[in-house]
Amino acid sequence: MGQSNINKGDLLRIIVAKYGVVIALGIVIALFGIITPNFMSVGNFTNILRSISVITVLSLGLTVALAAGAFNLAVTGIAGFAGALSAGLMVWNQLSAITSSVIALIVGMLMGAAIGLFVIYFRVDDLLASLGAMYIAQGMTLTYTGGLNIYSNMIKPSPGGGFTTAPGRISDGFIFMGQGMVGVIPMPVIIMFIVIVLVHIFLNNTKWGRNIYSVGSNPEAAYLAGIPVNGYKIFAYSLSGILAAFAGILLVARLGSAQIAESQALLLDCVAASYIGFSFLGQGKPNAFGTFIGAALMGIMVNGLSMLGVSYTTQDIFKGIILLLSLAISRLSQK
Amino acid sequence: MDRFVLVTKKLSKRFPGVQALKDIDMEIRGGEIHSLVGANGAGKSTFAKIISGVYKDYEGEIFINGEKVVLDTPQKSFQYGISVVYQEVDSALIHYFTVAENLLMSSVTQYGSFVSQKKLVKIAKEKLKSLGLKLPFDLNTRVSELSVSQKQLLLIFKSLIHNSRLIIFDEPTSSLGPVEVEQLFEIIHSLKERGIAVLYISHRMPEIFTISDKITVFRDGRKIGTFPRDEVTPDDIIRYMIGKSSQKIEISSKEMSNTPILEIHRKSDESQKLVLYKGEVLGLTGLVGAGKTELLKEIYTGSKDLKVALDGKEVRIKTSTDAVKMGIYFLPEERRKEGLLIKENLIWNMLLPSFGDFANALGFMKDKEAAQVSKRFAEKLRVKFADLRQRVESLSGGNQQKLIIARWLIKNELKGARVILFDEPTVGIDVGAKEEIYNIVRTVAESGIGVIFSSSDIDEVLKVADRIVVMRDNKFIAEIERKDFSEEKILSLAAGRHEIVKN
Repeated sequence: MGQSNINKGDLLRIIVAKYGVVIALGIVIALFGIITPNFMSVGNFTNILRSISVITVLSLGLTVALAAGAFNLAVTGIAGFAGALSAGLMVWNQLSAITSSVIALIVGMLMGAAIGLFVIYFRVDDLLASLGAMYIAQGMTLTYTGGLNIYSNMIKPSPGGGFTTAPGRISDGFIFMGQGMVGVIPMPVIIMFIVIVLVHIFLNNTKWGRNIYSVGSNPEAAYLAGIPVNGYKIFAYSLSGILAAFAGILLVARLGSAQIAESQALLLDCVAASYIGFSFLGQGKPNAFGTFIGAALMGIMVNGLSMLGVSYTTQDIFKGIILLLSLAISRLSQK
Repeated sequence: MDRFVLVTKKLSKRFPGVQALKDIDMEIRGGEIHSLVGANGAGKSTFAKIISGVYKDYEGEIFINGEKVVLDTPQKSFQYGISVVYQEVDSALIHYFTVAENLLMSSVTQYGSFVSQKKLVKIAKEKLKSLGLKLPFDLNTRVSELSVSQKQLLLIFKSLIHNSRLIIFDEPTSSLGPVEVEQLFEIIHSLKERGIAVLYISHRMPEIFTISDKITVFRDGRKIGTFPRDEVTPDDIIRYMIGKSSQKIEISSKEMSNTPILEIHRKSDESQKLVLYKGEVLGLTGLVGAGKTELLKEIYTGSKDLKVALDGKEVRIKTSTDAVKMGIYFLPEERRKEGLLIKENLIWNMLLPSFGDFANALGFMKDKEAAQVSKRFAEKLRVKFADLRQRVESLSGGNQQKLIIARWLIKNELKGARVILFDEPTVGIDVGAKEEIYNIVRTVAESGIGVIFSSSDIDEVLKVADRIVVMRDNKFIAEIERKDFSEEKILSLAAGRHEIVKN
């Protein structure tokens, strides 16, 4: 219908709706580039990418659930437990890095699936159900670790008094995943991009992705078109669990130990990154590259502000502003 | 009485990329029932929304009782005495409030900060009495317990209590059965007697010719003309609306097949059964609320109470997924809510049930092939679109409905349908598109598929069906062959008058 006579105001609105987040990213980079002398360096950008690698993977876990119209606040909880489990299996049970990781991923998947089953079977609100699951996962982490961080040959009080030294180590290969470099590029950055691309392809180019998006877009219409909606919700929750668990494992690899409280702090950033991503290219729905842009925007803000000497307590104000702006932008794209 | 309640001069409204309304001059008198007709996208709703204050950035002038006004908020329009009875009555009422609370909702604050239900009922009673109105249900009833037509009545009375001078009805009968429509018309006539101006927006020719004093036709955002009812015929109006005369459907009196394709028995009531034959269009009709939609959904999504046989073999349907696998497809009544993914594009909506069929062994989508097939079907059904990748929300109701039909025709081509269930497939779409949909339905049946065409619009069922089953109160009450079709008979069966006569 009459696309030729789009006026100037409409055009501006369309541009903002489509490229708003990208433009915001450009402005933020330019601003910091001008005010902060060391900001525009390859080293600093590598730093930023490394700093957002875990949160991007974690946010992708949330994104996949959101794509199916399902909220999963338990991603950080699952990440925490899966991370601790992978470290614990290596350190206490002397399992190999691969075996430990696979077990942790499977446990993450099962936790995700359990949330999905619960939400569907009892028809409860998914946001609150996953909040409950987050508490359970956090409690499981604390119970499993006894409240201690897990590191190679750690020492822990024995139940009978005295101390026990753990027999195993977090293997070097495992730590390479989080700390290694390939040329000038950090390993976790490479892993992050691989996960982004895989999630993107999965959501956009496979029949499962289409069906997940359909379920998220209008579950009733999807059901009446013969799509097994409940199955796809559980599927999406399971994938969300796997990605969250993987983020948890990656975090352990980055830190060289399982810091039990580390992943909990990421929850709100993760929600923000996914939602900022909605407006990427005017898609108006959860998507992999958008989530990355969202995480990058937050990461760059934190990095630039830190370089300017703004304390991290104040930084949250800026994060909040960015989230609010991007929500407004994604609203534009839906008009 | 004779004054113009509403006058508009050069009223125009633009949306991004679309001129929705252009230079509309309208004059509506008190005590006049003025119908506004037009195909989908003609600008009827846009006009109503401007008058009711929904769109603030319109161009042109509006006069109420001769006074020039700016209607930039719904509150303002309401204060000027304009109220709307929307198609979706639910959106205008608060469900967990009582009738009295809803009646006085817009003015409730003027009775003090704390108002008891008792006091509200008293005030409402007095107001209704002073206007000589009587509600056929209790003021203490919760709105959630009312039927659609009772809700409409409530909205009308609410307008009257607040001294409305112009009441706009936006497709008020689309969710009403024939008896309820008659009741509504009586009320509208009484509005006329009170000197209130009525703007009646509708697609339905018989209604418009029953009720109007004047008829205004819109096409493509422009006014074609205003005609006194007695000086035009329905055919004229349809011609003005679509720019050509409507075509009639000819059903050849063919030999009906007697091979049952779908058989349904209700376990809890042995007398309740339905047989659908191969290549037949079975019209399922009855008043709104007779249980047609419920029955179709029971068949499609499974019910413990139904015994279903497909091609003579008993089948067990537990979910829609089972039904689709067996070749039973369903076109839902509520297009936007149950049918479309409004934010997705045409291809996506046409392929919704078929993504798996357009994927390779690894699950990757074959997008080129998918686009080709979608294009072919969109063209075959004459869907009007600029780009297959545009969002479907910008399409008219008729085009949206065609996409959902195309969805099942594509699935049929890939997998082979046995039965297609159409639930109110022509609700809210324009006359031209309706005819096209009847033709598609006939063609589908001629290819050997069994079709159930469910509709409360008896006229269209008579047009399109080979055989009609009438439902009332969730039961099949009559089966009529094409040679015995008669509108009166079906209407009286549906409304239950037949039984009264028998007794």
